[in-house]
Amino acid sequence: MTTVAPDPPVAAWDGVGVSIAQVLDRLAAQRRPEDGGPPLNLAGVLNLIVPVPDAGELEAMRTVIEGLAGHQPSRAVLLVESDSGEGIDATVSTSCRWSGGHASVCVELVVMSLHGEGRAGDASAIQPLLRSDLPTVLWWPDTPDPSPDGPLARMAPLADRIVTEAGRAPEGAQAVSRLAAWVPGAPGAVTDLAWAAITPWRRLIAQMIDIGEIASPDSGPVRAVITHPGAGPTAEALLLAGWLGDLARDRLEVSLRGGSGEVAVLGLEIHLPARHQRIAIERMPDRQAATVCVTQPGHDGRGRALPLPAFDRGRLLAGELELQRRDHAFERALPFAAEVAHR
Amino acid sequence: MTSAGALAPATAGEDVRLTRTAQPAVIVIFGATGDLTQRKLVPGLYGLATQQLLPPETAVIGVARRDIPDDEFRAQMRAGVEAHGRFPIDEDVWEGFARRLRYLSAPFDDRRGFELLRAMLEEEDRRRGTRGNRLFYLATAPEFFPVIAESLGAVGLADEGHGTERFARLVVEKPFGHDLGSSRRLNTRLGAVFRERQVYRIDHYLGKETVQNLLVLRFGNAIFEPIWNRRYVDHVQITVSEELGVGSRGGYYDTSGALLDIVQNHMLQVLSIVAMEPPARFESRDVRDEKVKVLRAIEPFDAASVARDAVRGQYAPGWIAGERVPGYREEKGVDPGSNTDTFVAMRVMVDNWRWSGTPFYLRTGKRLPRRATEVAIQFKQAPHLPFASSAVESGAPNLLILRIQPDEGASLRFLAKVPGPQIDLRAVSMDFTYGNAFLRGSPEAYERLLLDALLGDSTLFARWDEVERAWEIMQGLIEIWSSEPGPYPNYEAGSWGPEAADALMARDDREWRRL
Repeated sequence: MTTVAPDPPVAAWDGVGVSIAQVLDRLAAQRRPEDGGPPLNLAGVLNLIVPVPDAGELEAMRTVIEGLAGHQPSRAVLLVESDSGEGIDATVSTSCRWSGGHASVCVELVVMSLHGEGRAGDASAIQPLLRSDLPTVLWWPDTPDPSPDGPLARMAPLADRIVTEAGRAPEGAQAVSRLAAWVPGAPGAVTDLAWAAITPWRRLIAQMIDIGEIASPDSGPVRAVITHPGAGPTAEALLLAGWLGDLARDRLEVSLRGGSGEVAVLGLEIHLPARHQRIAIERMPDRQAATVCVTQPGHDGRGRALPLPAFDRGRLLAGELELQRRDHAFERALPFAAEVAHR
Repeated sequence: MTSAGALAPATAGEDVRLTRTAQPAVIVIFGATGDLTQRKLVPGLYGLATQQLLPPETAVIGVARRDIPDDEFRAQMRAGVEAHGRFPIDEDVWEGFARRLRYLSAPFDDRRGFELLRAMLEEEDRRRGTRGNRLFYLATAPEFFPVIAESLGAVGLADEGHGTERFARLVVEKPFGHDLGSSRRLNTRLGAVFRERQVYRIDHYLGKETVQNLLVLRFGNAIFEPIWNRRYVDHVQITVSEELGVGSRGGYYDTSGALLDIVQNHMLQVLSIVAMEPPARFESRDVRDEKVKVLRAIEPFDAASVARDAVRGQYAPGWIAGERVPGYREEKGVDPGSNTDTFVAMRVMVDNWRWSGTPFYLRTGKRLPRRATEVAIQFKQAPHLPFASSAVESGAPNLLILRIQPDEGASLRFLAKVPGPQIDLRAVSMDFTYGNAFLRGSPEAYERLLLDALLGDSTLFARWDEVERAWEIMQGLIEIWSSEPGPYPNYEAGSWGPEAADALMARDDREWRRL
């Protein structure tokens, strides 16, 4: 899967002090070609709600969404909230693609700024903009805010699926604890980009050893060491520990240790003494690969380089948007991750 | 080659380039200075004129109490066409249309005014050749309906004469009564002057393109009708949601409410079209016979079914489209202790061979999150899915959605495989949108219905037995709800109604569609 930048926006419109009805009119108008022909088809497969935590992040988040156009065409509403001023400002842009000889609108992007007390009505401003009969995903670019009357509590009921980003919090342990406390009561299916980021790790482990053996009570204790950058564990390292915890339950003895590096998980060792099995994975600096060494009876493994991609945020999000189901493995791993975080 | 002489002469009905043409007539609109006339009726008539669907002799007389000259009336109507019309003003068309637009100031309860009206009509007949044809449109407050009809009768304007082809038709807006008893009394009074075939009870929902398309979809295609029944349909949801509050209609609405304003008329009409048996012909009597059969198959509400199958609500303050809005009881013209419902949800069973056991869920309300009118036919789950359980968790039953407004059209939801190395199912939609399929815009409902009334085609108007049966169904609900205070306010503006509405569905292990 690759993310492809869409064709440039065909039209853009800025409105100051607008109503939601005007925004909807504008979205409809931008589907009508200038030559008076039939309206362009809409290629959307989902609605995306994106609260922007800081106006300085807007452009980066907008670029991520525009990059999804190829395989996750959507109507996206980016929400910027500001204490000052009043009313609603909006920018509407649409991007089109050619497919089979026809142009289709594939990203309809509304950047909506809510000012002053109107922020409390954020969910009501978003809801009319969502297209009926498409799944709605809320990309919450942070750990969940547990406040019962905060923006997440207002917006989450609009979504079928909520994608959080615990990995952006400065303290992984606190982020994972908050995530684990919030998920069971969430109104929709939840997943997290930190969890998505460790999928290549989990895939690599599953390719190298039989994870059924980790899960089997007959395998005895499972000892794991996860290396993360810096002093405190990252959310990704904790979630990886949580996944192993879900597999091995109380047979898991996991320790996390700090190392030096940039990526969220630097290395992992799993040791099953009763099976005489050991796997050591160490990410290679600045490469989309790791050195992997598997030791098991009759086979004293040597280290070899295997692919271990580290996806950027856009790619991680694209993967999560494709998955419409609940992620039970994530839901099961989370309490174990929180338990490790509390230690 | 067949010689031209061998062909029978074409009639207008066979000529594909000629549309149905009405007889010239004088259209008399009572309540001519009201909102409906300016927003819908005159823009609709002007739309017909623009499309050459109105005979050039047709004249329009507006009647209301206010004393204004013809020119001012024309200016007001022009403003209405400019603001609400489907077609921009064409000066040539407007000039001809406006020349035939006149105004009469007359109180509705003053017989002398009707004598003046008769004189004007006779003058129009002489001047324009309208041949004694009249279409009387009652766009007034409902208390004037019988008064106007009786006055028309008293001055001889309801009479179509014997052995003549001239017509005198009466178009009646809603509300047709406010309960079973009052509707019967109204019908008796109208019936004393006009015969049933002269009375056109308008329900503008029936003039909407998608509602008519529902008939075409069902009875013009072979693939839907075989599965349009209890064996394949799990349930049907009909939604009429508005984000607006009562606006300037607070005074009227507070005497009416969602049940009387929307459910008893529009929603039961739509339901009867969804559920009806195929008519032998798309003609007035056949279609209306089938619709009334559906209504007869619905058991009228009693105390038990009111408690079990109906939910009412009234909105509290909240947020709509990013704006804080007041609660219903704070709206202008509304009693601060009002017991009026602004939301209704109900479960209706159509007890006949086709639908037995398949519920129809209706919901309507004001100050809901978005404006939408739609019918959703939810089909039963596939009996067996031969895929891994992890693949089908996201599975959704087939759904046929008919959008009446906005974005008139239809869509069919089905499951498809997500591209990739594993079987993963995703619900996708096949969409038909009127705007995409047909470049020409849909006529306004009133445009279509005014034309039908002029043509004498009552297929899309409600017959008395339909209206009476709709009141019979709702009478128990009206009596109980009007005598017992509701648990108001019980939903926030901007939400999808009271929790009890969700509970109504949850009890049947179903949920409302998220729109």
